Amino acid sequence: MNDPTQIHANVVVAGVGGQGVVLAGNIIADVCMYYGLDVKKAEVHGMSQRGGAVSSQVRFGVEVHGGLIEKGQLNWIVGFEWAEALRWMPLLSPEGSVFVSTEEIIPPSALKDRVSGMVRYPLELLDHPRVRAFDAPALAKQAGNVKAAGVVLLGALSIDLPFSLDVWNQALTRWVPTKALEINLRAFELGRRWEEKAPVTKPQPVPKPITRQVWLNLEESWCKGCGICVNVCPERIWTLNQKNVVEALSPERCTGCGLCEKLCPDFAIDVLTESTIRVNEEGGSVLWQPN
Amino acid sequence: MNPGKALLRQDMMPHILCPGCGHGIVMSALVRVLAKRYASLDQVALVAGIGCSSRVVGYIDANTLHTTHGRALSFATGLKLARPELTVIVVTGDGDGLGIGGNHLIHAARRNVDLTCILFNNETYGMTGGQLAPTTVTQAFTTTTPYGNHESAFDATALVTAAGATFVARAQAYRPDLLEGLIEQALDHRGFSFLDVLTDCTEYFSRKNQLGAGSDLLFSQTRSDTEISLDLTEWPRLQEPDGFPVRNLMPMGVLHESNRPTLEEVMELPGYRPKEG
Amino acid sequence: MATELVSGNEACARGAMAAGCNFFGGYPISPSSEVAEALARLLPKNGGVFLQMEDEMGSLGSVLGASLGGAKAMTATSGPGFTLMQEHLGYATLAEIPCVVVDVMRVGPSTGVPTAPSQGDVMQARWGSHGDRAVIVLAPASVQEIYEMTIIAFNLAERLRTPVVLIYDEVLAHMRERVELLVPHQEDLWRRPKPSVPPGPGYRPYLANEEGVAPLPNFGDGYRFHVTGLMHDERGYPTTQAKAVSQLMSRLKNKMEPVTEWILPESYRLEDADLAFVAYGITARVAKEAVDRLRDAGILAGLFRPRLLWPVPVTDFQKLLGHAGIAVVAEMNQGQWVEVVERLAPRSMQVLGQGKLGGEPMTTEELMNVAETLMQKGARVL
Repeated sequence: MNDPTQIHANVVVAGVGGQGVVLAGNIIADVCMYYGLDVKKAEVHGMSQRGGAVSSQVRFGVEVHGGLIEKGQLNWIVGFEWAEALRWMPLLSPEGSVFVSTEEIIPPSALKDRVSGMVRYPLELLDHPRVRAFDAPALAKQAGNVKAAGVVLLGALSIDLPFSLDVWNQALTRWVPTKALEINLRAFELGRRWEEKAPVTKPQPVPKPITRQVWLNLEESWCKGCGICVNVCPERIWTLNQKNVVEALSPERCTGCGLCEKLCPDFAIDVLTESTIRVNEEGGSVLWQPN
Repeated sequence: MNPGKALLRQDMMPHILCPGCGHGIVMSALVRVLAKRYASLDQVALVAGIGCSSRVVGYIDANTLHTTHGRALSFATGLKLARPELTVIVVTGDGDGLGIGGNHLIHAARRNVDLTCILFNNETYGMTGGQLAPTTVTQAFTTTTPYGNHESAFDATALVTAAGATFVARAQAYRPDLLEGLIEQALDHRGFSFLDVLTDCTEYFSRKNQLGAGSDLLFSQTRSDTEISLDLTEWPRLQEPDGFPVRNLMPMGVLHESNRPTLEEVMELPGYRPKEG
Repeated sequence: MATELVSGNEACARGAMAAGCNFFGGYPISPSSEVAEALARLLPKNGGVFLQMEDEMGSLGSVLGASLGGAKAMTATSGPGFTLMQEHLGYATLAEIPCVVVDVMRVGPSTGVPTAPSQGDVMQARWGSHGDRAVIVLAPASVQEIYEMTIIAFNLAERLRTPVVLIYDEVLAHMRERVELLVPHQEDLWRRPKPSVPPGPGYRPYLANEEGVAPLPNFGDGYRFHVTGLMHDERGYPTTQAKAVSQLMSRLKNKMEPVTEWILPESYRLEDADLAFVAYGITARVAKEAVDRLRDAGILAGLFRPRLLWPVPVTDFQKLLGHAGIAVVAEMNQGQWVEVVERLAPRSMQVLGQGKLGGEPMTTEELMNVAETLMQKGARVL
């Protein structure tokens, strides 16, 4: 594995939209091609603006036939977002290792429900002996921009690979926009020294429960039926009934944004969150509250 | 929950404003700010003139003074100089503050008495049935301009700035958070602070000019971060032969801020504690 | 006590200071401006506030605002300015805000003769503000009385929580007389009634006291309440209920009743008079001289001088004047208070209005001529 022209390995870069996963795969591929290796690259992306999963599989060697990595054949996982990295654990070879950022980016799909803010977000596997987790965004910030966290992880990966620093830097120069190059080169260098530079942190094994709760209170006798709330509510909770008084169709969908309350000219709607609950003790009729 | 709701005179609610009236939204923002700033309204006086806007103060459980048409600022000036320790907030409308009371407005700005004037600007005389106001844009229809307004509108902020106000800002009912922030800034300001708040008259101005009601009216003004574009020709219904007037872009936010001694300071009134800054 | 030679306007300002006035908001107008000028000097030195406003509406507005804050507040003006203040006078009546308004009468209508005297605002002082209201109008006849009545005006305004108008003419305003500037005892300065209950829910600011006056606290005293020019209930909340409105209007009228007992008219040689002059202000002074000179000539004349023009001192009028055969109402206008006399006079009494226009004061000779002509027509001669 020490001869860069003879190496044969598989790397996965995994993260969420906007982190530069595809770019990182391109840089790895660029470096490999410098050494005359055959490179195959497969990507999953799309819907990435909303925090969706993005991954880039990079296979390289003297000769590579297929683009997809098979079970047990994955040598390195570079996780820009640690939960995304976990998806690839089943493919990891017994000697394989994982560089992962401890950053948590909870995708919308992991939200169990928006009212309570509870999420499904697996955390257990991080104790895996081959996982090297550190705070990449912190190092990127040191380099000058938190967005360079992916390049920090690439720097960490580069220590395990036999390619020379010069070649990595050349690849970075080709792929990174000129105005951000200096920061990225610094980030890469910091990544190579992550063990001394970055505090090793592990995410909390259990996420802090987010207990955001919303109550809706309607003073029907004050409502004049103007319909502002009906149209401003992003969740379309409100409707006007036959008496031309507002009524909650689906209060459980309320996210507590408070738009209806602030734009109600008649003080008819209260959106109560935890901080304002005590006001409700007066005995106003609570329209809806979570279980 | 609007914490300001606890400051309302519950036995007077619901208020008299029409369905969808922007004044109610401004009132909501005002009491929200009051609740945030003052543990008690014992030392807060709200002074108003006559008109839809001016009825608002009666619903707030403070020292409230519903005066005569246009004269709120003169009452407020006397009250503030007699009791400099009070926080005095004037609620006025465009007809009240710029029409019949325009003289008091410019002189209050000139004197730089330490009070805050919030002008609810709905471009019309709502209480009397939707007549032409000094803020009605050119060509707009009102009950007294059946052929469209021949006159030009006042820019209240430019007027009071020229008159010497030391804090001048513009907000609108449509953006309650901006409005709240500007009310706070106006109250923080040492000296005469003026806030022009664009609101809507659903019953008269809107009907006469086919601007829709409720949320339609609220959304009828296109907006950017720093300006409100009142270019209503974007409204298909209004692109009829005589169409609705194109209104100029109106700047939003803090438009003028300066620092000079308040009248209370110059008169060395005991009991007056100037705010920081 | 100091005795000084001061003008009527100066005496008014000095009286205001003696009464504890600590706020003046005004607008310059002849012939009242010296009241403002004097208070501009006196108030700031004594912890008060002097404010020159942008117009007369603003002047009385600032006075009412200051009064609600607890100040003893006043303004001074003349005919055209008094007209502009009428709306706020009505407001002060309905909202029950104490204030003193001085009207120095000049020749009108309109700009008229700004520097010449008249008594043309008597009816404006009574009915100038729209709607239906009871008023207090005081008419001093000397510089000394201007000083004293300014203090009285504040007392009435405070105790009854109502605007009090002090009217005198340009001659009195600019006349200089020897005045004893008596400093009133603190206990002689009436204070506005205060609420007898602590602030709290259920507090009703417009619940009248035993004198029919709403004992309003000052703004900032910890009572939060609403003041409006709309008809209101005891809570101060607007109402259109006919019963509540009529009760309020009756109370505002009835609370004025004791004023006629407090401010008595001057009666001069009326006991056996066949002919009674009825005159107020500067005109009463020439009428008084006419009385003496007519008596010297053998005509039994007398003078009834109301010091309080409104409310009308009905009882005193009937008690003192009832037996005179002729009443000559002398005033510098086309006949204003004469209407009151005509209304109150017994059928047996002949009432004659003697007006004087043009800006020159009434003279003793004019009144004597009128009296002599009347008596020659058949009245009893001694």
